[in-house]
Amino acid sequence: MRALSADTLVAKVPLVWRALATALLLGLVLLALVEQRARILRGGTEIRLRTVPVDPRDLFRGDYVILAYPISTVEAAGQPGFQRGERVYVSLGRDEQGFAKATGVTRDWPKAGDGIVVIAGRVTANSACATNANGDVDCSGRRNRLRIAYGLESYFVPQGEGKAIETTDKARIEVVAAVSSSGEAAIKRLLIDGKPVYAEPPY
Amino acid sequence: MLTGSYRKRLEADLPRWVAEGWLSAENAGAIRRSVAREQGGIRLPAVLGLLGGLLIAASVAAFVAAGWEDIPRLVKLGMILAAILACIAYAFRLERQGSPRGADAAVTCGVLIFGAGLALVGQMYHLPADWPAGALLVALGGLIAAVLMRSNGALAIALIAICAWSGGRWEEARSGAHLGFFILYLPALWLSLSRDNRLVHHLVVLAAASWLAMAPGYGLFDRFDYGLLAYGLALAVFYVALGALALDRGLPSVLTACLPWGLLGLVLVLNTELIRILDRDEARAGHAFRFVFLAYAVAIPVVAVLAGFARERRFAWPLAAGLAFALLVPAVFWTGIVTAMTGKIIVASLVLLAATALVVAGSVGGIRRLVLAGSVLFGVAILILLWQTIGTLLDQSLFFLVAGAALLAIASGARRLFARLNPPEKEAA
Repeated sequence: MRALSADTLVAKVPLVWRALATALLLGLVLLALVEQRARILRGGTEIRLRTVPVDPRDLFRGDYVILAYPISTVEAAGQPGFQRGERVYVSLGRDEQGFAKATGVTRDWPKAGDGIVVIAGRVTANSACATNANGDVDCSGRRNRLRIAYGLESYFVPQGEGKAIETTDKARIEVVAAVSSSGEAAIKRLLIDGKPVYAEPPY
Repeated sequence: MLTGSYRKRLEADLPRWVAEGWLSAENAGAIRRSVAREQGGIRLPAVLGLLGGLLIAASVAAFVAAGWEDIPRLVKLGMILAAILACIAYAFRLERQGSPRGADAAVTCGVLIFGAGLALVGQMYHLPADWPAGALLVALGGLIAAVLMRSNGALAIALIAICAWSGGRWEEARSGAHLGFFILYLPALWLSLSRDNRLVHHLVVLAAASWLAMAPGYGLFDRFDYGLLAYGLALAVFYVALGALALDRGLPSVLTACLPWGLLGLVLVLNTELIRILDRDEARAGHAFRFVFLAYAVAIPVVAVLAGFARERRFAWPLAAGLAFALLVPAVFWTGIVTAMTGKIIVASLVLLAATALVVAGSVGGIRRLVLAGSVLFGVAILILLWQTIGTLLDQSLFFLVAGAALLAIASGARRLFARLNPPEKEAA
């Protein structure tokens, strides 16, 4: 029993190696997380998104703006039975102004046509109201739309600056996101009136 | 490990032992000094160090949350990495100098700063507020530090983070049990078996309890059913029996931490059952769903093992009997006689019997928390019975009279009963 104890086994490795390994592994976890996001920003396809912001605060990460997009609610035409938490792929086309527009949602990776970008998301609700072109919630009509989170929903800003974005007319705010070839997305730039306010370098 | 209660007990015993002539006053003084040194002197710098480390980690967390942009974020990340390295290096030095508690405090601080680093990366790349995923990474970091640096503080952080992650995923999915929990919990449990830290033991036991509580699924909590009380009762009985068995048979000390939490659950559920059987609207049977049967199927054999295999039967038998009485309470609800007078009398009697059995087992075995739990259960049960009576106050008076007389009868026969259960050593030989 004693021989199988975790501490007895670990004690066979000299303390100096264990201390080095601890610092190295903790550092590697952080750096791996950084690299995973930086890769999307370096090489992902850019898409433009209209936004709908509000302003809360995260206890550990500070002030941030919650962003919602017209593509956050998607009509699941002819494909019933999506569950909360399910991973889905949304095909994005462009509207006449060049903003991303959802054209379909599937469980498997869809066949991408010309100019179609596929973005991966997770279903957060399966009977959501629609968000119309102005960003307002529209609950008229059938409520069979999916609410989908893409990992683009929070934007962290220095303390106090969240309110400034919140008070800006939402029609003036736009987000440019990068979408990797596997569908993962990251916010790249935040623009007001077409001018970049915040830009995100990979590192 | 020495605890405050141990010191108090020594203070009570030492003068008696000196008076009896078993110990010289000089030796008693030496014992006192040794205990005081173990409890105070050596641990003080480590305790202060731990509190200081927690404050530094909180300062790092607030610094990250401020999102101050005058320092480039890569520099901030570098500072976090350097702080982690500094904590681990300091822990290494303290361990070498023979201060394992100080080293533990430094590693704990390092793991908390690692958590702040995760928040920083989340802020840098605007990761969505997916706190269960963050908790999972903190748990991983905590486990790494707990294994390699043999840190109890890191293990405690890991256990809390495991619960946060598992609970978050369970709440999100709104489905049944979250099985992924065990991927991280089992290594943590294995580590805790070789630790003598009570905080870690209690957290291990509580983490398992929280998973078991969530196992029936989100839906059952959403539309509350009284079957959940039966499930909770069976789990509490299982915990008490397991903790008592561990104390009696000298099983790994982490299992003894099951006892206080099981007793707390037992007292709460039994009193709730008593309140609701006396309430006209709430005295409903409830459904025995699959998990109630599973919990009973685990609890009953453990109680049987306690009764059959305990070394000290004078302690184990009353306790097993008390737990069996407790397990019968939901069965009374299921028979459908709950609203009748018989049901009320049976449940009230079972609760009082269980309380009495706990007090008896605790007094005989010298386990104060059993006596305390039994007394609290007994006292609160009597208050409930006076407040929401069985029938009229006259009926209630008769019930107390009969119950009191029965207890007195048992008390007068107790000496003979215990003598028969554990024959004196001379006769046994």
